Amino acid sequence: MIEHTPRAKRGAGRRRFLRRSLAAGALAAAPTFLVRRYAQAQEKTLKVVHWKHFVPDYDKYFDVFAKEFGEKHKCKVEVDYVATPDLPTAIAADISRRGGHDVFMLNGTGSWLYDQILVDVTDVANRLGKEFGGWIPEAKDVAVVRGKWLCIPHWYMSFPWIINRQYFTQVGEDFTDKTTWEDVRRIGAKLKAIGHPLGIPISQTPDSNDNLVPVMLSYKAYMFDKNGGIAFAKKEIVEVLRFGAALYKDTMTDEVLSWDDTSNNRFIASGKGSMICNPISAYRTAAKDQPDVYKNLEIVKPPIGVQGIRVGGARTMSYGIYNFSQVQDLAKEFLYAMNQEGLRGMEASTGYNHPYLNAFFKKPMPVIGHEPKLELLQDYQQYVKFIGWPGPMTKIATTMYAKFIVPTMFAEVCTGRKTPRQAMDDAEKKLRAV
Amino acid sequence: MTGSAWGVRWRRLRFLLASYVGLAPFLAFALFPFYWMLITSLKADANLYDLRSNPFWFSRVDGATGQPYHKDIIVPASLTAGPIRWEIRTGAATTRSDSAVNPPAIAWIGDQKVLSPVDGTLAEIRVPTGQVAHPNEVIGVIHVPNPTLTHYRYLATTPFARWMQVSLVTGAAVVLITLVLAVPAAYGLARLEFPGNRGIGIAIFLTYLIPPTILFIPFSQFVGALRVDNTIWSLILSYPTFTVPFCTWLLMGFFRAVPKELEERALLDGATRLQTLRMVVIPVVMSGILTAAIFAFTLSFQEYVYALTFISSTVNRTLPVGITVDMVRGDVYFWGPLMASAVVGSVPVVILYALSLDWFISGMTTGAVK
Repeated sequence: MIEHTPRAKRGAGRRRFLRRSLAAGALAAAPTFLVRRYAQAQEKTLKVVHWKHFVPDYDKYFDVFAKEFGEKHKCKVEVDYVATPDLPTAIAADISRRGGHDVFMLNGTGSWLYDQILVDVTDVANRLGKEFGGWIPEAKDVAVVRGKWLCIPHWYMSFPWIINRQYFTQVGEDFTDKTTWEDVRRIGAKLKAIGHPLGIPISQTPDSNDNLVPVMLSYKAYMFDKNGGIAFAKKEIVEVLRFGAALYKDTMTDEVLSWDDTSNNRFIASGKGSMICNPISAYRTAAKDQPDVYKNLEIVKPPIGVQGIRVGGARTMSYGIYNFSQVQDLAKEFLYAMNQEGLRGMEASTGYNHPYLNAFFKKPMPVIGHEPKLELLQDYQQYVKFIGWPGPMTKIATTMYAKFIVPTMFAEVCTGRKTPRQAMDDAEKKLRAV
Repeated sequence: MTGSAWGVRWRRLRFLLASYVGLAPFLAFALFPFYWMLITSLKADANLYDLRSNPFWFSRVDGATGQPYHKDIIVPASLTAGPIRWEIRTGAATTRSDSAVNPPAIAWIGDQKVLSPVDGTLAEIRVPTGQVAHPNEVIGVIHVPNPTLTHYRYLATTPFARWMQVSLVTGAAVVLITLVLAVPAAYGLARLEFPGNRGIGIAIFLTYLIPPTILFIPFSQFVGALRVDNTIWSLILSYPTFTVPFCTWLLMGFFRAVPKELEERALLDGATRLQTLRMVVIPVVMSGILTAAIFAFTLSFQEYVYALTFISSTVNRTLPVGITVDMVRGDVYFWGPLMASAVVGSVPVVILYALSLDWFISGMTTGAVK
């Protein structure tokens, strides 16, 4: 029957249908296009993107600080918190739309990674350095690019070693300031035998970098030169990889090959583990949830490597200003004010935050100077080293961290898939390809 | 009872037994994540970290010590030493300090407030009223109940309700926009013949294949240019970019399954194309439209990357982003509150599925049998 319908009429029907469908679609979508955010209030607004701190009270403190800053400078400060792994995504979105925030947090990266979009803050750095006794030397490795400070290092998170003293006593051993990595291997074998192994993540998780890179540095197994160029100390790297494989075999179980950042916290808090390397979050978690285990936990200095070298790992936290920010002067004042009251932040963070400015090392430091088991962290700056050392925290060093080149290298040797030489050569190839 | 009656009963019983035995592994597999979510949300933190206890059920005592789960009350290092004055007696209930706006003190050291670290019962006072308490000293012990609703109480201290509201409003708006755009688009591509019909269909499908992790950067420019960033309009506008292609393709299948004769008869009787669509075709494919609506809702309800990058203020966040930001802090995962959020957050989706289950199944099986 349909064949009797005139073609012209059918065609008109289709066109009408398409027109109406299009109109309906456009009508439905129109309100979304018509929306315009109201103009910002007359007062200036400073927008900050920030991670969620381990300690909820630190975020509360930071909100109070931001409010006080706003009142003092007659502006509004908006702080947007994002989860730690999501911070790079939020920054990428800001850079893409050239807006969104004015100040951003650089979590574990140097200013080299964002040098194209960062404002020169050398004046702020000099002002702070002058007023607070100067910066620790490592601060420059984080912030200075081609002679200019492009971010202001605010605090770093230490990675001390946490031991369960009860298990060490049980096997008739001690852990002292003189304990070396070789001692750890020997004692760890005894601890593993009584069912309390060591726990160093050898997996694709940030903590793995923060555990293994200091081991390499304490063996002088450098991957970079002083200028940040790739320069593998091959003999030392092969040696440390051999040591790593032996340490893994003698003192750990294969669960460390699949760990994420939370695993070592659970490992020590549950009473299973005898020794881990982690920020004091693991210690605090045990205090909160496993008081009987917590009683036996102690914070100790990192073991000593070759030639008496002791290296403590750390993750750096800095702040920079986008060069597309409309309130750059205000943002600079904000960075200054944040560092000016560094100790208040350290107190709110319950001791996580370690300062970069010498004036803040006066003992007793807040929180860690008053908790007997944490007192030794007051000297952590004496042996702390950051990613890329002995060079600065360059883009390549940051990429090495982000691509888990060091944990992969260790994992390949520990699992017997590659010889130390092969694993090292592959790591170098990957790094040079960046 | 005769032998044949027993035989009939046995055969029925055997059929039922076989059905349940066959279904049991599937049910165990499908429901285990929900069971795990629920049980974790009700466990005390001490039980969660107790590796010696049975992980599939609640434990009342510590696997290592055999003692009831407890928490020491330690004087914070930031306080100064002074005489203590207890505000509660042994056996009284305690409320965790972070689950109230202005939590009550359980004790005072001088004029310094001591708060309870956990929900529980004060079991022991180590430093009695009048004696001097020092920083880092254990002044008492709280018994921790297990199971507990403490993690659900914690949710009340977060903007959880607001995140849920944002997710629901966004989901509803996205469903509406998706259907308004996808129904005519699918119908046009399935039924109308015009040059490029097939190519347009494939192009629509291809847009769905591009992952949001690639698109979020150009989209953020788009959102910034429209000045809708940090509002839920940024999501309402961007989510249809993946729900419309997906639902268009889904609906094309449903429209193709409708016999052409039905439409031809309506056209012959003088109905226009729109009338045919509205009065004849849509009632027939209603189950498909509801299926598309459910998919559009769940896709937008669970989306993460756009919600993370387009919205930065805490109050405008969607549920998945809000939970992740607030309850995962570096390497410290708030497992209990995370699971409590997952339980509560899944309720709207469960209700939606329950209400439209018959339609949904009918939609999913359309065309399965000719």
